[in-house]
Amino acid sequence: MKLLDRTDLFQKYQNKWVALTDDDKVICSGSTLEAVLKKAKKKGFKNPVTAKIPDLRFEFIL
Amino acid sequence: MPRFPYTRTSLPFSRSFLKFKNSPILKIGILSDSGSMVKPLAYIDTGAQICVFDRSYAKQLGIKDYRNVKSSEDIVPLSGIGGRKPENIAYFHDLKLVIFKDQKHLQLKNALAIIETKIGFLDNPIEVAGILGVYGFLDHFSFKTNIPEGYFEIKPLFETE
Repeated sequence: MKLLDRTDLFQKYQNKWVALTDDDKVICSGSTLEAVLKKAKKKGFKNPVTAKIPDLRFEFIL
Repeated sequence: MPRFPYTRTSLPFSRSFLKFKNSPILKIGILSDSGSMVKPLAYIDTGAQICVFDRSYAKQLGIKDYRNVKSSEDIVPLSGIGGRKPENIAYFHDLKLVIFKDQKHLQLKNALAIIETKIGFLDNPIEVAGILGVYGFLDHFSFKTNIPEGYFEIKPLFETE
């Protein structure tokens, strides 16, 4: 199985929230979950996938 | 056994040993009793004992105050790499975790498993939307990872809804 390369998404939207379609297309981005859900709804997406993209300058250890 | 790709992030200008990040990420659902569902992108963390998410999701699930939990047992102080004690506090609610077979069709009819569990919402934001740990997620699956070949596999161990 091929790795799923999300470099573009992570580099472009780091430190932001994004709303995505089920097949990973970006609908919108914003600084809060509420903001992206509101924008997505205006674009006709009632229940998108949502992600918070980490700051790539830091190593993230859980 | 359902197989999922690792998420690869390339960082060409990073340190030589950190030019690529490989993360086990799933699009999941969190379902409330009222039928509301959110669909966060969550990181699998075999070292975490619990499943925790950004507190913003609580409101979307109809939980007015994420700190208003059933019992004091549902309030869990957390520590981690930051070294502070506590680093964060999680407030646990009874919800359902939905794991989808097909990561491009996130509908309940495509669920691999729907697990009734406790999900915590965090006082302080973390770097990602949420983390899938042992209780309520990894303890329900056989989990196999193969980073060199770029995938992980999860197989439900129990019948769920």
